[in-house]
Amino acid sequence: MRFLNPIYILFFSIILLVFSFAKLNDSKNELFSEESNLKNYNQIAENFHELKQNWDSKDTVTKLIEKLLIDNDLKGSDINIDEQKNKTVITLNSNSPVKIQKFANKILNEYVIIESFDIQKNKITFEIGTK
Amino acid sequence: MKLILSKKLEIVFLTKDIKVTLDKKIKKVNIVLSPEFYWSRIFNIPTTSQKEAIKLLPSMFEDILPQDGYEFYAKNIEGSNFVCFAYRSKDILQALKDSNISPSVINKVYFAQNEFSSQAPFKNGNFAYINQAEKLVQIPAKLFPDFEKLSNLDCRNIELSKNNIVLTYHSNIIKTSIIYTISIFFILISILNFMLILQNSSNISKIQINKIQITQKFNLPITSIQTTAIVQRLTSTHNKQLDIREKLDYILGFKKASIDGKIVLLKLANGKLNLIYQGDNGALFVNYLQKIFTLKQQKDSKNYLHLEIKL
Repeated sequence: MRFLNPIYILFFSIILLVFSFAKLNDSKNELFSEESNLKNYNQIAENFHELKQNWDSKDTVTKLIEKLLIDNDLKGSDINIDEQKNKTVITLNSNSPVKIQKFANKILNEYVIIESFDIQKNKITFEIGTK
Repeated sequence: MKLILSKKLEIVFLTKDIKVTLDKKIKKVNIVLSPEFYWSRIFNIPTTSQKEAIKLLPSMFEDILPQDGYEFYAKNIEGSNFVCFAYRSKDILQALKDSNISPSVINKVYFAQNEFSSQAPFKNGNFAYINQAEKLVQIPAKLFPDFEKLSNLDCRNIELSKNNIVLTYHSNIIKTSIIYTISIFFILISILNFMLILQNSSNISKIQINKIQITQKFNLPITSIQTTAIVQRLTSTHNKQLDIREKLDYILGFKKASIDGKIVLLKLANGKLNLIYQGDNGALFVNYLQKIFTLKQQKDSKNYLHLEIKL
């Protein structure tokens, strides 16, 4: 070291400094990018979970049927449930417009996939997708 | 210049007129400088510290030295008396370079005056060397009467002192200590930067672990492509279902406000909404629907209005 020119050490330290700042900058950018990705990923995950729970769960339909069958307003009503392969058809036969409206509201307020419906004076039918 | 074996490391007596070739096997040598490489004076300096004395030497040698660029060394001989030396590393390095002696093989550098003070007069090349008034004097052969009778220098029994100097291998444009301070400062900042980089890497690793935990918590598919595809499909379903409910709400909204009419059939199938309206105010109902829907079919039979809306 005795015969090493201090200017070389200075140059080396400057190069090291510049290199370290460049690497630090890269590392900061990578960290910001990863943090942003994580935030985004978390949002996607929550969104995925919520959508899956709402629209891709067979439990929702089962719970809806249970609710309809135990509902005080609809108790004793003529409710037909036809569970098919990829859909469930729920029909209410009633002369009461109030009952028909309540029945429709209960189904429409749930996260169930309504593929088709037929609302008539004395009969209301909902075809709910279960795939 | 002459190469002589000593008990320990080999000693090279460096002179300007003789060049020597070192054996390739030699790894380290001690250099003893002939008087032509330095100026020497005895000064009385009111200090006992060698460091303090050296600091004062530039001004004390000022009137003696012929040019700039000298470095200084002092050896305390008695009380505040110092034998002082002024030398130029540049000249010494040039002489070493002329003899093909690499700086890497040099162990230590000494002044002949300190090392050969007890030596009898000797000859080396075309010069005689004698100790006179506590100084080693170099005399050309022609001016020394008994030159041929002198023996050659023999360093085998010489024990070198601790009074060695360190050659400066570079120019001193900026003070070396300042360069070292700046360099250390830069290196410290660099180390700090590298520590921050490590910390960032650690945080990135933690983020990766968090991602895995999120994947497990929400039971996400393995690939993001699959996740995106499912999210897109379910979002489409969500929007479609919300749209059906909103439109139905809008249609039934007329029924609430109307007294003279009623919807007797509302049927959704294959993306088409068929409805039958019974009442005198059919035109009003049509106007109401046309605000947001494009009605595809209008059949007016008796009091019944048949409409088809594409959702």
